[in-house]
Amino acid sequence: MRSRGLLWLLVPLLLLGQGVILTSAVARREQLPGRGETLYALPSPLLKAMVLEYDGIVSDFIFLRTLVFIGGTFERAERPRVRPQEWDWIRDSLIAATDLDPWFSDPYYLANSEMVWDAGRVLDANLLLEKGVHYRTWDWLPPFMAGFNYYYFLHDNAKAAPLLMESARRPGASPVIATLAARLANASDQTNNAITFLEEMYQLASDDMSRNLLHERLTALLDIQALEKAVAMYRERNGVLPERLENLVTAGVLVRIPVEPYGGRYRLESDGRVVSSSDFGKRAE
Amino acid sequence: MIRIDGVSKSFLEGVRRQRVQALSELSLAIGEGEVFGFLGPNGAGKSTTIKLLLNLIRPDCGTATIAGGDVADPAVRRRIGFLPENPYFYDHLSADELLWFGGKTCGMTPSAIDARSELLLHRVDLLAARGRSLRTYSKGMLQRAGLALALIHDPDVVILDEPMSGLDPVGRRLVVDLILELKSQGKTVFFSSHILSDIERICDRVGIIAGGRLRLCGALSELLTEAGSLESVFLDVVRKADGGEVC
Amino acid sequence: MLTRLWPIAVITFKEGVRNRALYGIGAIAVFLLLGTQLVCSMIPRDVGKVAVDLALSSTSFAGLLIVLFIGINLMAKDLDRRTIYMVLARPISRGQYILGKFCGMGLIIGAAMTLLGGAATVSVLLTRVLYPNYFDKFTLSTLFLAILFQVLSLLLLTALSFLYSALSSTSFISLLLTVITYLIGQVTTDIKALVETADKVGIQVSAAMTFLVKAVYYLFPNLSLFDIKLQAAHGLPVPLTYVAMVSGYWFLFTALALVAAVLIFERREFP
Repeated sequence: MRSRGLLWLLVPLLLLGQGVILTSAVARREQLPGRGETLYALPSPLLKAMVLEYDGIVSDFIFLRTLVFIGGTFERAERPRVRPQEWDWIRDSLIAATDLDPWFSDPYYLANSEMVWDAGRVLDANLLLEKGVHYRTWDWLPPFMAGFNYYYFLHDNAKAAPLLMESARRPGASPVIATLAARLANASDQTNNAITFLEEMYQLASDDMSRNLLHERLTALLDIQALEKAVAMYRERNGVLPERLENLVTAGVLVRIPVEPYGGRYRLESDGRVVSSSDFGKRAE
Repeated sequence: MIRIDGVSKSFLEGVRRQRVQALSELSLAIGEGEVFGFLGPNGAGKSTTIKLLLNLIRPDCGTATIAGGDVADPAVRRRIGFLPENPYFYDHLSADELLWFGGKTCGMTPSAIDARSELLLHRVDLLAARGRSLRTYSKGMLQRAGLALALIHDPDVVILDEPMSGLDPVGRRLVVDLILELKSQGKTVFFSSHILSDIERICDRVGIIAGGRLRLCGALSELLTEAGSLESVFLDVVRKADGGEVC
Repeated sequence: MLTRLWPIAVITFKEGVRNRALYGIGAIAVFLLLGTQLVCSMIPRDVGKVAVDLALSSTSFAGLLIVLFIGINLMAKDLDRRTIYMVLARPISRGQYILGKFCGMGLIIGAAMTLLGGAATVSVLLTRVLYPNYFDKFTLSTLFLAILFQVLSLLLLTALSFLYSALSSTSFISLLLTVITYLIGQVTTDIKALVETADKVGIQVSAAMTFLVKAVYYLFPNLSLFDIKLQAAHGLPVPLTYVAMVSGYWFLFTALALVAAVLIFERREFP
């Protein structure tokens, strides 16, 4: 009878003991050599065979893991937030997820929202988006996003225009897209095009992060649009371009020069266009 | 009623696929209404013979017929009731469901099955346990449920493999009474056993098998007048058979 | 014929359904309802697709467990514990025994998949109530068709497991062969494609290997034909001709497996 009581006492002790050891063992495991370098994505033909009939759910799982990984990087102190090889892994994971289920929309949108603005991996993102264009034949968003990226970041109107036309043809697309596609074809009025594009994108954005990004971007573009208008007005009055943007204020065309949202400055080019000195312009390259 | 003509059977055994002769040129005939006791030491071929009669194994040569039909024909088994040695049925079925299965496979109507189950379960003293799953049955109860299953379709030929093994004296008494009752109804009963006293009590004829050969077959009364007791006959036959094997 | 099959089917069904293992299936159904909501709350957009993925993956996985652990056991236990003596002592042929067992297992699969499919449908519809915006292309009919195809695939696997039970002497061998058949059946299309376009992927495949892969491709069932989970998840159309073809393939292959099982079982002895 007494030994039975001892045995009962052992149960919570053992339970507690394994819990304690588990915690420190997991912590030790984190420090094992090779941790952190386990970022790899399996090649798709192998993966497709290995997942048996569970393509869909494994695709969901790979996508969620990528999403969680990206979410985790926002807590990092280091800059840049995501290392280059990690971007490679993110790209490979999203490719794997869409190889398993090419109709799954979230990986395409994630590629567009994460890899374009932050990482500047526009080509990678467009490779994915064009797969989305091919499979999600009823969805106007992938061609629109891919078209926007070609136009805005890669300055490739020839590739952007047909994608936008494709997007305009699909159900649910805004009629503005068709106009944009037509205008892109003759490469004029770039700032206005960009604003129209961004306003569309801003309407679409579902999360605060990309809304903020787009909002900043839109503000900058609207500023540039206002500045270019002011420059044109100055030229009309004075017959010459102003030497510097500040001249617009002294001439009374503008009340003040707007603050560039990325921490840089707006600058007047010799041909009358206004550009930003901050890296927002460079990042596109 | 039961005829076995010149049946031999060998099995391939072990990893080296050695041929083991289980039955050699066995011939046996059992008439209608007879109670036949089939005796022999362990491994003599009793079970093999019975499985042969149920087409569970096929003879290498020779034929076996029951009621004039080849045992390979499933329709023949409509007239046979069989109780396997150490019967094992399904865990989650009840005795009632087991009997329903037995009756249904023989093409009985539901009302006939009901009436017959009632009677048989009463006879084997399982009325109280009829709804319980067979998993909860003791060995003796399973044996009795098996008897009820063997008799559910009122067969003309009843084949029982070691029906008394593992039963307590009350259960054994029940089986003995049941066999005598079948005999009085004019049924043919073929059963194997090594409990000689029971055989002495109920059999018309006995056959003794040893080493796969039928060593002795005859009316019980004749054997008893010749040798005195079944036990001495049995031991004598088995000893001779063993000697024969050695030579 | 049918009057002899029916009793075997019924006792097989009763024996299988009263097995404790089925409680596990019920647990999977409940887990499915709760788990789907949890996962779906993490997905930004394609909630409908993920909900259908989860629902259909759970049903097919649970169905597979039923075939592997209840189906094979029902047949193998008869042989292991010699219940077969009692069954074959009845006036039924070996063929009727196999077909009756198959019908009983069909009833079990049908009942379990109705339960699981019901839970899956409820979980998908519940998700649709919570996230109505992401279900525009979803149709219930494709979801049901996907579940029906899963049932067909499980029945085919059951027929093959019976063939293996008829061939082998222990249930472990049957289990192993059935698992191998399932694995091959799911990957056979991918592997054949891989071997045929080996140079594109940049791997070397010998002629003997190509032959082996092709032999396996035609000998084993192609279970991936029955997998239309992705189509159901995205509401993509499944043409009637495809449904007819796959049903035909199912019928022929199941019949092949059962006929082979009967032929082998007819010859078998039970010492």
